[in-house]
Amino acid sequence: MDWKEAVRRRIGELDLEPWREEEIVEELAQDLEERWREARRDGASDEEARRVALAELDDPNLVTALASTERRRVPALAPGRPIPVASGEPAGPLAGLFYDLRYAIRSLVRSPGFAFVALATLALGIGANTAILSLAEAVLMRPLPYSDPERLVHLFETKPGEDFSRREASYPDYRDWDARSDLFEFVAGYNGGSVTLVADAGAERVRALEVTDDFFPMLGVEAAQGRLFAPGESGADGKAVAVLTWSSWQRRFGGDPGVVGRQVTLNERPYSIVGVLPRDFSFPLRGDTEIWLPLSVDERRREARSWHWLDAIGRLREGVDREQAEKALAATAAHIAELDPQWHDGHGITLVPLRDEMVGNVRGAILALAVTAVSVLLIVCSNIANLLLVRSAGRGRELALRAALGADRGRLVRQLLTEGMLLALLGGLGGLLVARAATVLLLGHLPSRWLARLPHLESFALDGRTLVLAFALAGFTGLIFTVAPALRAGRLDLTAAFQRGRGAGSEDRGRLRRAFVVTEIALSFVLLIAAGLVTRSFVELMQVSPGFEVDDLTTARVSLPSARYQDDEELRAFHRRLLDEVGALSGVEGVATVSQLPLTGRGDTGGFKVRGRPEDERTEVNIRTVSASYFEVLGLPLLRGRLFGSGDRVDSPLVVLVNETLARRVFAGDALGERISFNFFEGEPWWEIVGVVADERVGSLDQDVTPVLYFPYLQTPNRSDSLVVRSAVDPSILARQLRTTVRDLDPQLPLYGMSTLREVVDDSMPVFLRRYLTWLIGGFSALAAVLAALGLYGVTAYSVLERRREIGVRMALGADPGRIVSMVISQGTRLAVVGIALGLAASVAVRQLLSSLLFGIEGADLLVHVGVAGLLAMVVLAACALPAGRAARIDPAVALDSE
Amino acid sequence: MELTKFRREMKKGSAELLILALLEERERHGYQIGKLIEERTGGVVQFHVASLYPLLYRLQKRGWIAGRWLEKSGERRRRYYRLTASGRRALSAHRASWQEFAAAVNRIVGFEELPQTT
Repeated sequence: MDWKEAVRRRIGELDLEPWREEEIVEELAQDLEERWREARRDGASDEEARRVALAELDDPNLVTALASTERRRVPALAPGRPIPVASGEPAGPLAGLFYDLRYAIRSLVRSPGFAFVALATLALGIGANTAILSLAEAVLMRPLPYSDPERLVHLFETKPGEDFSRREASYPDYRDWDARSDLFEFVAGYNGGSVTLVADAGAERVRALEVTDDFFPMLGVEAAQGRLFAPGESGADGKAVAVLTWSSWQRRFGGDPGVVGRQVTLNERPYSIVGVLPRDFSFPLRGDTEIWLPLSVDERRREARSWHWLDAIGRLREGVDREQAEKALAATAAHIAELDPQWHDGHGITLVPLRDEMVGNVRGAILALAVTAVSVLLIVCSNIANLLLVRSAGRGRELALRAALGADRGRLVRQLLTEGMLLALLGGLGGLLVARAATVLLLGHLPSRWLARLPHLESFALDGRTLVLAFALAGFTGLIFTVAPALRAGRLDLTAAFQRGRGAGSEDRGRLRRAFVVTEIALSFVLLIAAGLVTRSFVELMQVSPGFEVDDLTTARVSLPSARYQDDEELRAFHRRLLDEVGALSGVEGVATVSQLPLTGRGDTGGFKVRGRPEDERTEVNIRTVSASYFEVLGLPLLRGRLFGSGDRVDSPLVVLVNETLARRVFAGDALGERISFNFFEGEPWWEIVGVVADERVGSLDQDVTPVLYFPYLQTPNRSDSLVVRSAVDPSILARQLRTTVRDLDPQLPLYGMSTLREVVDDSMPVFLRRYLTWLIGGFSALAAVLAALGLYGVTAYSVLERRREIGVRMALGADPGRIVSMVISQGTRLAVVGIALGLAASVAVRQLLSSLLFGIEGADLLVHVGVAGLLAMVVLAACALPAGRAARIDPAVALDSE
Repeated sequence: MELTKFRREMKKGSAELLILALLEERERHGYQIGKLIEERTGGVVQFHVASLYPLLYRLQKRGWIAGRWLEKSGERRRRYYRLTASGRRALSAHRASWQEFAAAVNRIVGFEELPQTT
């Protein structure tokens, strides 16, 4: 019977000074043993005698009484609080855990510096991961808010090898796709736009979406109020009914329960509200949509196969998978090509899972961010593991003592595990706070329209899932950073520990610590490479000229309602007055209109035929309708021929301009004088190309330049145009001036989408995404480098401490301090070199991961790699310099004396 | 039941006195102290290990007794307690007040036979 252990179990939690604890244990154990022996002499069985002896300890006041007389090693956490003691024998393993926890708390309180560094880095690591992984889960994994969302696919027409290789359906195409009821339960169409809503507050432009009547059944969504669209409400002549989103119902109608049946004026025409969508409904592909209308298809669009304007989403039948359906649709595509060889020859139909279409290239960004965050967490773990190893070395005597006094190895391991897990748990709690802040930060920097355009982001909140994630991460990190030190403690060599005053196995531990530091350096190298590549891509992207002079340009959009601006003459009259009035504003250097702004990737495309060439040789190009002043205002140089002039009027010969790319591709550069015609104009008249202008980027900066064709506004007036104003006046003042001017022209006309062209560039997806990631990955990798430097510093400093006797001997024997410095530094550098080599190997995978974000980088980027290696080398030197200096200043006499 | 409680209270009140008195003769270790109390009171007063030692430590802290480890030949070391000078003073004060108290109590209950417990 181990009487000492029996006593120790009961008084261990008091955490007395070790020597005093040992005295008491010894004294009481002797007494128990005597009593046991006595009982045996009296004829008791061993078992009975033992019970008799142990009963001696069964006094709930033992611990309280001792607590009042004996000095504790550390003051209790809350002085004066009675120490809770279970009456009688503390129950089983839980009681052990309780003691372990108390001990762990004390040992953290005892080293506040360690606790602070460990908890702060853990909270940062866990918090950042919780936030980023929660967002990733919401966007990439959480089911879309529709029924059976995995059966939903977006349909596109494809033509391999063209600029516009993926496009919407024409209405007849859509009808043919919809006819494949063997593959689809529904194929629904939608077409986005905006409408002018007249309310008490005045006229306002609001995002609206026209959809076929089976759109909501296709998604499996039902009305929260009233009804959604009934069969027959869309089509040839869309009914004047409207459905509101929940948020628009709340905001515009104050959540009025009687909203169904109310009238709204849209585009100066009355519509009656028939229903409201559920609160959790969202349609990220057109995220900012407020009003849903039945699709209205006029006769021209109903017939035109070449006019691609309708987006389509299908719900696959149960049991039909995407590849099957895509194969089966080849027959439909062939059938369409047969009906319309001129426009559809060689075309196919492709199906994209709806989520992929919604998430697009943001997926790469999110994954990159998630991998970055996890890497930082691993570095944090390595660092804490290292700190714990140092601590366990410092605690060698304590652990050895406890082992010598009879604590078994398992018990010590459990104690260390408890300490680690406590640390992790506290880190997890801190991480929750960090996650909250990080989420606000991450989402707060996204342009608001982006929130609505990614699944589940608008309504994103930290919830139970987050809590689980944070604590799972905490548990995971806790395991990672405690297992090594704990196992190490389990192998403690007692004699050596006592003799040397610190943990034995320090050679082993040193190896482990160096392995952790190598891991840290490798990971931070990889992260720095990632940051370097993304930054480089961002810089390269910003070098790309959009083709025009971005600064000092402000834009806003105007749409003229057909009810009051019925014919082209009225449109032209308004257009002329608008340009005149805005042009007369003080500080305005130039004003123009364009049907779609550059860099947005939006706008019509169309195909034309060339006079003198075969019918079936048609080219699809971007189409813009511009005022004559457009090129001058944007600063797009004329390369050949002439620009539009005041002479290009409705009654003069029809003229167009083309960009350089179009001229080169279609006319081998010599486009002047060529005549072309478009089938979407009544009578398909011929238009003459009178000039070639420099390329502007109509799509995003990271895409190739596409062919663009410009019509003069006066010959093809438009209802909806963007105003572009060049002025050095402060944009907010200019905005006010523009609003006043337009209100004076037509009080019912909303001016919307006001921004500067600089903002258009900066907020465009490819620019924003890379800028965002440059900051985030850059920040994380900087943090990683700092942590790795701390780790390396710790290892080097500790090894100097361990070797101070050896260094002292060397110095005593006349070693030059310079040699000592280089010895220490070369030790650190060796670790760094191994880390960097490993990181270099891993950075190949990083490039793969980042591929969708890279821009303008060919092959392995030497600049980035050399730069990062150089940067890390400096960090390594800095981390080793301090301990090296300390080593060189070691006084041999003191060092030799100290052991 | 009531009687046991009564005894416990009595024991509490007299415990310090008992220990000090036992140590007056000579130094003893804890087990001896416990055993002697049990024997000399005929088992009426007994101390558990869990209550005896805290009591010893309290007395020691007050400076009335002092403990030291002694290794007697052929035995393992044990902790012996002896009475200090201030312990001696405390003992005589205790003794006086105990006598005074016992006399006072006896003046009231002493003429009647205490109920026999055996």
